[in-house]
Amino acid sequence: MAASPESVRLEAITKRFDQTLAVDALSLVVRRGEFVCLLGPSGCGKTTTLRMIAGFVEPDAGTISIDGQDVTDRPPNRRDIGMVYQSYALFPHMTVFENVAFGLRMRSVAGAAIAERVTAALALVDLAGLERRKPGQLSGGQQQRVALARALVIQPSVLLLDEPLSNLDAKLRKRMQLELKTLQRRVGITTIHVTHDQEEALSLADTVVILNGGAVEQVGTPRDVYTRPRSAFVADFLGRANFMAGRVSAPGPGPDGVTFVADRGEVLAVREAGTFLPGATVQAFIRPERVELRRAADGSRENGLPGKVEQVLFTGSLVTIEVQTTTGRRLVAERPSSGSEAIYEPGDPVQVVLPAEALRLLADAGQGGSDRPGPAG
Amino acid sequence: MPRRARYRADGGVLLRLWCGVVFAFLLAPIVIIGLTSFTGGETVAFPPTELSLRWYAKVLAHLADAPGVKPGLLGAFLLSLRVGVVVAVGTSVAGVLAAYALYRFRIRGMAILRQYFLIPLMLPQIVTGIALLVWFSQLKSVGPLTRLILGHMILTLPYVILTAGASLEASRPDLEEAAIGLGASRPRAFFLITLPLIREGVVAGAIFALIISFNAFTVSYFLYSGDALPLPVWVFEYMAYFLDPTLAVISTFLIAITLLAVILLDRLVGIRQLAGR
Repeated sequence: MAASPESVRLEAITKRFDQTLAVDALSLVVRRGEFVCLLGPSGCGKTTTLRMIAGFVEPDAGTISIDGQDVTDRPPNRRDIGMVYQSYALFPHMTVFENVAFGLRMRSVAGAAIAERVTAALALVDLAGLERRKPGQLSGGQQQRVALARALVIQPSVLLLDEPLSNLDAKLRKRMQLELKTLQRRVGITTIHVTHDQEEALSLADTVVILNGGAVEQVGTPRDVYTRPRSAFVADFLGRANFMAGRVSAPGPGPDGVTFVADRGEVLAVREAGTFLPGATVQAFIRPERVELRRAADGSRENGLPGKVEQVLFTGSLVTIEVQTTTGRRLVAERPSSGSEAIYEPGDPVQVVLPAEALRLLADAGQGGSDRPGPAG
Repeated sequence: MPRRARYRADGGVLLRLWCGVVFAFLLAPIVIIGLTSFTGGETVAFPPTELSLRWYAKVLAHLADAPGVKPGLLGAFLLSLRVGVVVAVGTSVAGVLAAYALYRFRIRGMAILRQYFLIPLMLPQIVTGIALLVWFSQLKSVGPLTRLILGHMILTLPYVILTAGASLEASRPDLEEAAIGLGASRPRAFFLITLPLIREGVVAGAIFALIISFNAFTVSYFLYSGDALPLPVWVFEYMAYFLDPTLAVISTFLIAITLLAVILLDRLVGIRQLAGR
């Protein structure tokens, strides 16, 4: 292996299909051993990007390097990649053993070595003993593991995963996510995973790359992109959020803080203003789990807005409480259902507290929309 | 009492009766030919006046080119078989290649191109025959055997394209891609993954090609020569001079051979599967 810490480098790759720009001058560096998730809605260019790394789609412009070598013009069979598909793409006329052995046969590995490595790969994905089965005789989860073993056995420079878990049912998907993460850690292979499932991306990735309209919207650790989204699009896409349009009115309180005046007249302190100066038109946003509720009688607090409970939804581990403020704004709060806090009923007068350190400001150009009535899904 | 129209999944008595009539209509000529071949009389007559195997003996004499009978039956049979096998193999190779392009590549105008390759199916064979005759008379160096083979290949190509194409459409293109991703070259991925998966359609197309070539008369009539005379042409020439039950015997043999081919086809790939696609 090359000593370079860099595994995959994309430089301004662009792909146009007929009139649509699928990928727009996208640049990205993936470090060796890193688990990167390309996340975005359908049509954001994530799969096209993955297929360009694999070599199945040729970029119109830009370069792709793997392990420091320019592979832009190299066909996929000479790129040393391991790919796992949403459809698994197992060869139905071959046994599990033959499926996993395929890549080794293509590399002219000796028979004894093939048997040894296939056995090891199947043991790695916990499928020892199923060598003689045909893919049609396996469950969805087992097929997924075979596909994973088939990609890993050739010890590729980079593992490419194209929504590999989205055909599994919710429970199995969660389990496979855990296994995938453990496996990736153990093997230490550079992995690029494409998904539209934000939870999957956040739980699996070392680095999340959020794509929108063929371009990178934000790159960061899961915690980073979730708590400090750089755009309303990211904030909206990575889970639920309350948005408020308004403007920055004055600096302070606090050294980095500003006062935010929402379009319905609410005055809120924001602890971290970022680069926004007084007078800027912005959107404030806060995650539902950061919204606090107090009894109306508890006396007013900083950033407390009076209102009343509209709806209470019990969703198992969480309770979602929708509140309408006296200014007519609907805000959503989330609480663990096991919490020792007071239980609210629709109609209860409450005080919604939007803690100054949990409020974030975003440029008012994004797709989060202003003053949306409900929470972003 | 009002009559109620009830839905019956197996159809009513009338439908069954109708189906019986249709089957009888389709099968009657075949049954009649078979029975006629066992006649003891001098002419093709149904029902046969007396049962005998004398016309079978005559066909054996033909096959042995015995003196006193029209020669060349065995030669014509073997020629048709040879042409049929070569055509089946040749058309399969050409048809699979064509089908791969027509059903896998995404190119503008592909729908029109697919229709283009089916033209021999729609053109009257007499037109194809005349066209080939004119064309080959320009190409003096092409021998009669090659002419027959090329003519039959044109005739049978649409069948292989259709059966192989149907298999290709039913198989997943991502499998070949996965093989390439695992390091296979394009040809290797095709031979190791795609071809085994469309085998049934290819075999079916090849058997169609064999049967059609073996039975092709119209096109063959324009292309044959004295030293490359296929069986249907021999039968036609025989019929021009004699109208005795010999032909009923030959027909019975041909029916038996075709039936065997169909049974083989069913064993190999399943007729049901072909019809279902």
